[in-house]
Amino acid sequence: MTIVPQSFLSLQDLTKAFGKVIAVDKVSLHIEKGKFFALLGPSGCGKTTTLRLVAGLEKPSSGRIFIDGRDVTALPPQKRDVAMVFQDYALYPHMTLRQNIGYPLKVRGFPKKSIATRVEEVAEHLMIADILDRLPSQVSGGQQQRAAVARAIVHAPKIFLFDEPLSNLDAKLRLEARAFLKHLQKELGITTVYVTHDQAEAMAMADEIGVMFAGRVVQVGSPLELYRYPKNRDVAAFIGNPPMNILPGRLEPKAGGSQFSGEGYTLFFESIHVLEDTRAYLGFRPEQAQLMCDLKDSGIPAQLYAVQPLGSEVLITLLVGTETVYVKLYSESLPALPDLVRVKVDPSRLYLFDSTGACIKVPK
Amino acid sequence: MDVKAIFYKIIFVIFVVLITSFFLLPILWLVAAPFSAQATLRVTIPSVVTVKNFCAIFRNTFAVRALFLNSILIAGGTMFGVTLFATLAAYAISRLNIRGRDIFAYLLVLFSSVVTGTAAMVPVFLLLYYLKLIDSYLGVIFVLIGGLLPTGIFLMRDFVESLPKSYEESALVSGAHPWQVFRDVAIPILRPGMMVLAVWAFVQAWGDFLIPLIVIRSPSKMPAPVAIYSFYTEGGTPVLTLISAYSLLYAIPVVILYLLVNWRYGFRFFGGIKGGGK
Repeated sequence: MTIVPQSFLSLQDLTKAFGKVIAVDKVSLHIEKGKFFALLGPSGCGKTTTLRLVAGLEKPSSGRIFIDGRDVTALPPQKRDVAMVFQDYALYPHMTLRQNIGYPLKVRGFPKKSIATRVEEVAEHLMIADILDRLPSQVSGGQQQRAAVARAIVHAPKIFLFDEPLSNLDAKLRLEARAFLKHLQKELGITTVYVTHDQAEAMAMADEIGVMFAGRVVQVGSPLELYRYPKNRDVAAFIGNPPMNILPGRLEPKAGGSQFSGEGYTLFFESIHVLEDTRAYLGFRPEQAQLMCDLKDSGIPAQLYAVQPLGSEVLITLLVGTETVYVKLYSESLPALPDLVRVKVDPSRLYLFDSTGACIKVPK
Repeated sequence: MDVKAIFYKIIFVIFVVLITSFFLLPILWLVAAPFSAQATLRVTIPSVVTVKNFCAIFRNTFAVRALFLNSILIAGGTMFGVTLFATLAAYAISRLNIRGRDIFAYLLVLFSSVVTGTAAMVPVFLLLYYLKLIDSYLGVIFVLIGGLLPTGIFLMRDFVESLPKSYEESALVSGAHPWQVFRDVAIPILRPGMMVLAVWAFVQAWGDFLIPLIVIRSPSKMPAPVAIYSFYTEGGTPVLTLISAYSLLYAIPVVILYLLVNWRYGFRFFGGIKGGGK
């Protein structure tokens, strides 16, 4: 018996193995209609394979996929009514942009006249109407990207799939394209799955993010949820710019709580109770740490490594033992820092991860 | 420039001239001899330019039919067949995930180059005999297609492999049926490769002597390479004036075909998508 899920796009225990390698491991996701969902993870984590499973370009080893209440697991890509923007855009090199954008309508057997009108309309909207008669090789990367998006939205698909569509653009265009895609998605209200390895992109664009590691979806949540309450060390170390600082150490039981001891410092946690001396990890966000120049101050002793002014803020790289630690100071002027400093973090802002990497303390 | 460099340059030029003249001489003969009233095997610029040799050829209906009908039919049919089947097969071999398909592709070429040619003549003849294809264009065309296909597939596979899969995948997701993807996306992008293959197949079939000699019985169906023997005297001496003129006519279609494809697509024996495909 299959239970038809309530959500618009639903993946149930989706698994994909290539020989002995399990690329996607029992992934279950439920995405509401009209939401912008980002699938985030390092390269090789299975996020693109998951997307290709949704598109129908790969056949799952097990599990099911539902789109709008319909089981599409066995359907070929052309019957799923989805649209996909590829990393390399995959604009057909022998067709003009006009023919490229009109292609999904052409194969659906729309009359020529209505194809022409619809293509004009979409191109107008995406501001590429004046270059419609050029070949893909004759337009810029940004324009190619818009054309690829135009081709994807032209037939008003049920689901929009993006496979790292911004990775071929330079930094400035990427920022522009981010805003453009987010705006367009909100305007059209098409449910979107967006694959990226860039956490900043996922944070900036998505309503909801699924973080994938080694074929599994580790955590799903809104960008701020992931930022504030990472489920484990991997997620914490992946999200944020720069990501969370993680320092190894030991956690031992003490009267009324536990004590964390790292490289030359100890910290007491009232609310945490452990049974025995165990390996643990301390975490804190670069933007929530402060630097103390006075060595008599309590805090984590650190050695200055590099100071990078970024305009509105200063990024400071430090070494705690052999671990690299980032601290972000919101100051336009360069602080004068001695070689040895202390890093101080409000105890309520600290994170703790146990030996398996699971988060055992989050900020209040 | 020092003395040594000049010396090497001179050696190089002499070498190039030698090589070039070696290959150029037959071509010069082919261009000069047909217009001479007394052609020999030597390259001589004819003192009186004449077109009588060509007139003589055009009076020989057997030879004209051989060149302008039989050869064109056989080479054209082979070209069409090889291009069609090699493209389909190469596409399938490249796109389907069959275990050991690379080994399969290599074995294909290896075996065909081992078993082809004279060794296969008797079985091929028997096969055609039982299929009742002796003395038919189709018989020649089938044998030629069979002989050229392995190399053709191998050649074509390279072009297909260089075609990014995302084009086809994008078309599939866009709602196209696999055959639409093949027709609208794969074929147009593969066209330069197919053209190279077509010219290659045409040239191979156009110049083939052995297979039509064995398969074709009636003179009215013989292609040019066989028909050229009608320009021998009964004693077996070649009539060089007519043979040279006929050879020149025989070479022209291939040269034109080559120029046409080269002008339209550019000759490349490897894959790769040149931006725009123009």
